[in-house]
Amino acid sequence: MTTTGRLLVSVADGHTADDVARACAAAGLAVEKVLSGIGVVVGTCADPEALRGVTGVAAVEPDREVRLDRDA
Amino acid sequence: MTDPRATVPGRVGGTLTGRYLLVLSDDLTGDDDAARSAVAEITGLAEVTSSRDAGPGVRPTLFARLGVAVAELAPERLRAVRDDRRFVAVEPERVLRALGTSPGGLSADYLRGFADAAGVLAEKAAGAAAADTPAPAQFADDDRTTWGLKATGADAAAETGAGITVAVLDTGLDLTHPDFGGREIESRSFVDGQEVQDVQGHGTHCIGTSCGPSAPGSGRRYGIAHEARIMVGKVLGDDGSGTDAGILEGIEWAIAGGAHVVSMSLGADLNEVSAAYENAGRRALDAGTLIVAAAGNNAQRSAGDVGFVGVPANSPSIMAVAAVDAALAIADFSAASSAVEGGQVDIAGPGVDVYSSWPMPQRTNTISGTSMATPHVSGIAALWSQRTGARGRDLWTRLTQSAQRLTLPSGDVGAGLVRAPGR
Repeated sequence: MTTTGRLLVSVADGHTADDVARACAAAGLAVEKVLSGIGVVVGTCADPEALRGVTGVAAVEPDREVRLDRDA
Repeated sequence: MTDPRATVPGRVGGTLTGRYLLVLSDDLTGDDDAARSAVAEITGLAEVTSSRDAGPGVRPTLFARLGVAVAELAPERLRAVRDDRRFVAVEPERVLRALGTSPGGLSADYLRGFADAAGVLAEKAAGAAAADTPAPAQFADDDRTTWGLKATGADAAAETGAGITVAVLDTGLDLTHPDFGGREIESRSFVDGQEVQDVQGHGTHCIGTSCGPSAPGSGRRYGIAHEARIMVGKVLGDDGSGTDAGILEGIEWAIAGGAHVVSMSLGADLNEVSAAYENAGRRALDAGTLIVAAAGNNAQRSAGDVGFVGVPANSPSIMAVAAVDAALAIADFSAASSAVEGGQVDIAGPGVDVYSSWPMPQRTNTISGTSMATPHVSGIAALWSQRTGARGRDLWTRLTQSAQRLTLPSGDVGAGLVRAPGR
């Protein structure tokens, strides 16, 4: 599965995406987008493991390539 | 007063008690006082006991929370109830029996013998059916409509999708296509350096099914929610690929833009749940937005591989759509439920040989995939949303409740074939 090098940081319940984005930035995430409506922060980080312990982070995943689902 | 346990024989469907069930309108349901006075007025009863006030041993007349009252009714009052708009229906109360007992006094031995005989006959019938392969198609395109619209009842629905917004996140739309002239469309590209204009064709095809016209310029009808407002989010590039980040941004845009339904005919063959998509799906439902996504085409059933529902359709909060063919058999490519939490197929739609819009000058095309089944579900979701006002989780329930059960494993088709509201 092809990845883009970006990370998807999922925001835990009870936390705002803005707060989590700020905390992740302090932990080394170069924030590209804060998607407040769906609780996801997009960015890049040299050390993804450093984000997992940040308050309000529910999950850290690689941003992957997705394809249309037509029958080939 | 008549003994309420006394029964009179019914002509159809068992025995009647002689009393009537009055079904209250939505306005009265839940309003104890209003319901009580309406029931007292129409029945002539001096006292109406609500289930809320009934003590031990007292039989209530009114079940306001259920929206039902039970009362004796003189024949001359029956007509008055039927004409009273505060009551949706009036029907005779029946005597019901527990289903575990032998109906009509048939012995357990007799029933066992009957079951054995029925089993033998069923096996013979199954053998005969297997010899009849291939199974005859139950539906086919004709001059007026596609097989998919007929199979789902979408061609006969009174609803149009008016007042409902459907967002389709895909390869964009051919904005010059005559199918969408005069329609209310909002669009945005989430693919760097590319316009919304669909070059690939896939997005135009999906939007044609979900929101295309009731009467295209030429040929048969394939569009379902033909008066819905359309949000076109280009999240897949002209080569048909995109990234999670772009798709998630598209979902956020659709929710913020007031989409009631988000249609995603895309996926990755990844057999684990993505926390990001699940966050998105859950928050979408909280906001009254239902996301439907293609289960995936990674099966090859003819070779014994049933595949698995991929990302993002395998998120618990995103509805996964399988594909059936015109004989209502599972499509060879249609992915089956997986073991991950949320990895089940939720519903099925027409997804084989689907005719719909295609970028000009070709105008139309016939293609297959769970991608093609998904916009059937999103378009029909818009019809249900218009009919009932249901949003988010309620809309999900509507779709699965109304789905036509199929004689296929639920692991393949979930609740069955999506079904439009009837007239």
